Amino acid sequence: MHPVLETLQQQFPIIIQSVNEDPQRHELSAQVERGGWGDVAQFLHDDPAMAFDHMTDICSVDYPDDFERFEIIYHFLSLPHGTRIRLKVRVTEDDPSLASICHIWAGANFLEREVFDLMGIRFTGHPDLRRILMPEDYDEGYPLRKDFPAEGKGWRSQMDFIPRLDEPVSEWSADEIPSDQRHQFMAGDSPDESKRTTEMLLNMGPQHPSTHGVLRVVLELDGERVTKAVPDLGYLHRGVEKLAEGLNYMQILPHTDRLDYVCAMTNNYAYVRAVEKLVGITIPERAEYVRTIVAEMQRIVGHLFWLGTQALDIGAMTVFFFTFREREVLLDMFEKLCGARLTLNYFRFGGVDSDLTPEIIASLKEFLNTFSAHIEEYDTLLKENRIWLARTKGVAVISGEDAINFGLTGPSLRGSGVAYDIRKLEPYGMYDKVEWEVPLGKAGDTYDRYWIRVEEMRQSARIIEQCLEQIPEGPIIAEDAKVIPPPKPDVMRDMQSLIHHFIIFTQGFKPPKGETYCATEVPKGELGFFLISDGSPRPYRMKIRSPSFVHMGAFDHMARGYLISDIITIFGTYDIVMGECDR
Amino acid sequence: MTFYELAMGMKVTLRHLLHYRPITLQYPHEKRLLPENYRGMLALLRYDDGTEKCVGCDLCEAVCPSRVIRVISAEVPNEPIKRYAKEYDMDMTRCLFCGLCVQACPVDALGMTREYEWAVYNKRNLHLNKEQLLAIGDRSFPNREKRLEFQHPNVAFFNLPFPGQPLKESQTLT
Repeated sequence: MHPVLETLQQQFPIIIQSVNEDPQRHELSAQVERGGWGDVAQFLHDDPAMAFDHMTDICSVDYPDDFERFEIIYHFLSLPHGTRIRLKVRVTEDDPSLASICHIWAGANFLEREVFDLMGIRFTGHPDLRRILMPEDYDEGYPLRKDFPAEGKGWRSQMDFIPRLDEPVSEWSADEIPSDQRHQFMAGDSPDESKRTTEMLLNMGPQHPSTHGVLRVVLELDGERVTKAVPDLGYLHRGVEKLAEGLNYMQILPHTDRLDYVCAMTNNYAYVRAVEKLVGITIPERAEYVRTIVAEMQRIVGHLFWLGTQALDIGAMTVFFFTFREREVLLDMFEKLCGARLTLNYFRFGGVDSDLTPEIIASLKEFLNTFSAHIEEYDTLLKENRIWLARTKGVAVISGEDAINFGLTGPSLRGSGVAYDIRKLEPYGMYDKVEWEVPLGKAGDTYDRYWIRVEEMRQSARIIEQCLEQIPEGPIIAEDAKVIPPPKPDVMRDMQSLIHHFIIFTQGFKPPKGETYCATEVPKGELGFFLISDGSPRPYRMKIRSPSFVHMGAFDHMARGYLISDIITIFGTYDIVMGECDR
Repeated sequence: MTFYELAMGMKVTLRHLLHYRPITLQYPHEKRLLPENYRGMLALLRYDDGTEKCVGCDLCEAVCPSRVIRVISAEVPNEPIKRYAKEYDMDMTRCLFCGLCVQACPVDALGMTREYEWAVYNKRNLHLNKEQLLAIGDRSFPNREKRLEFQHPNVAFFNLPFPGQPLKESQTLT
C-alpha cells in the first residue's frame, strides 16, 4: 500500500473508514468519517510526510438511495511530494453539514460555497456561506441534486421576473426599491465624527468591458484604495455539470469547447484525457504528437489573446493589433484542420478527428520561423515601456505560500516562483519526449506573470518545432470497436462496423464503474475533470475544476490595498475567462 | 530617457506603417475563402436523380447534444422495405455546429456547407424544415452523388472528405 495511506490509517484508525489504491489509474483515495474530518484535514496539511499544501478541488455527489445521501469529495495535491489524494466524506440528508476547511486552505472558500450552492451542504465555520453561481435569492432548491430536473423548474418564459411580451410596460416608480434596501451598498455610519465617516461601495460590472465577460465585483473603497473586493460570479452559469449528467460521453465533447472559449483545444484535451483514463485507451503515437502540437498552438493563441487584451485594458492599443494578427494565423490553421475557429471539437476518444496535412505543417513551420521575431516586437513595445512597468510591477503581488494556499495554478502560481507545471510533474502527450523549460517568476506580480506567459510562448514554439521533427507516420485514432466509432468508409462496407457505429452513436459506450480525476495544464492553469461512472453510458457526475474559478477566490486577497485603476490589471492577471469560471 | 522609449515604440509602429500589409478584409465586399471542411450551415443531400439520401434512421437525432434535430420516418409508398424521413426539422438556434450528426449519418445524407451568413430578424426563420434543408444542400453541393446501385456494389462515395481521402470534383467548387 502507498505510504501515505498507511500513515493515515495508523494515525486515524477509526476515522479513516477505508482506503483504496487504484492500481490502473494510480490514484489514492480514502473514506473519512465525518466527525473527524477537521482533524484529518489539519493533519494532511501540517504533517511534513503528508504536506498536502495544494487544494485542488471539492466535489459533491448525490446518491439518493443511500442512507448517507451526499458524498463530498476532496482532492489534494502535495507539491513537495507530487502525490495526489482523494478523500471522501459522507453526510446524511437530515443534517447535511460538515466542518469547513477554509482556515487551512484559503482556496476552499469559493469551492465550499459552490458545493453549498449546488448541493446544499452546509459548512460549519465557513466565514461567508452564500450562494455563488446561482442568484443569492434563488429558492428552488439545489440544482445538482438528482431530484432536481435537468431542464430546470419551469420554463424561462413563465418565470415571473421576466416581463412577458404581451404585457404592458410597467411604469418605474421610486417605490420599486424598498427604502430599507436602498442603502445596502453604503457602509453604515461610523460612530466617530472624523471627516471620513463612510466607505464607499462601488459596483463594477457585470457589463464592464475589462471584466472579460460578465463578472461583477463590489469594491469597498477608502478614497481611491480598495479595502475589500467581493466578486459576484455566476452571470454566465449554464449548468454544464448538470447537462453532462444527461448526455453520453461523446456528446459532452462539444460542450467543453464552450468552457474556456478562448482555448477550446486544451479543454477538449483535458476532457478526452479524463475519459481515456477512465476507460483505459492507449493512443497511437502520431495522435499523441498531433495532440501535443495543437495543444501548444492553442497555448500560444491563449497567451497572445491574454497579452493583447491585458495591454489593451491597461492602455497600450498597438500590442492588441499585433497579437491578434498572429492569433489569426493560428486560427486559420485550426480552421483548415477541423473546420472551425473557436469551437473546435477536434479531439476524439483515442485520437484526433483529422490529420495534419503537409500544407498545415508547412504553414505552421513558416509561422514558427517568424514567430520569435514577432515576440521581440511585443517586447520592444512593452518590456521597457514606462507605463507598462508602472502599471504591472508590484501590482497584484502574491507570495508563493499564499498562492499555494489559495490553490492557484498555471502562470499565476509560477509567477510567484512555484515550479508546478502538470506537463513536467505528470507528463502526458509528448511533453517528456521534447526539451523545454518551465519559466518561473520571482516577485509574484503582474509583470512576472507577463514575462512568464511570453516565455511560455517561446517554449511552446520550441515544443512544436521538436514535435514536427519527430512526428512519425501512422494512424491518428486508436482502434477499439466498443468505444471509438469505426472509420466511416468501413461503416458503409461491412456489417460489423455498421452495428458498432449504430450502438456507439445511439447509446454511447459504457465505461467501467469507477471514478477518476485527470488534470491537464491549460493556458490558464490546471483544468481537471473528475468523472464518476456508474457503468452507464452517461457520467453519474462530472466535476470541472476550472482554474479561473479557483483564481477568483484569491481576488479579494490580491486586490486589497490597490487603487481602483489597478483592479483592471488584477482581473487580467489571472487570464480569466468567465465561460470557464461560471460553467 | 522618455524620448528614447517613445522612439523605440514609435519605431515599431512606423515600420508597420511603411511596410503596410493589411490583414483585415472589408467584409461584406471581400470574403474569405473558407476551407473545404468548414463546419457551416447544415444541409440535406440528394442523389443525382433527385431522390433524398436520408433513410430516416434517427441516428443524427440520437447523437445531437442539444436536440436540434427531429426526424419522423415512414415507409416509402409502394416500396415496403425502404424508409425515408417524412418530416425532418432542425432548430438552428440551438445548433452547436459540432458536426456529430454528419459523422453519425450512415448514408451521408447530411453535409455541412460553407454558408455562414444566416443572421435573421426573426428567430422562427431558423427553424428549418426538410424542404429548406434540401434547398441548402442543392445550392451548396451542385454536383450530386450518383446513386449507389450505379457505383461499385461495395463502395459508397461520400460528400465529405475523410482523413487521407482525395477531394472529389464536387468539393473543389467554391
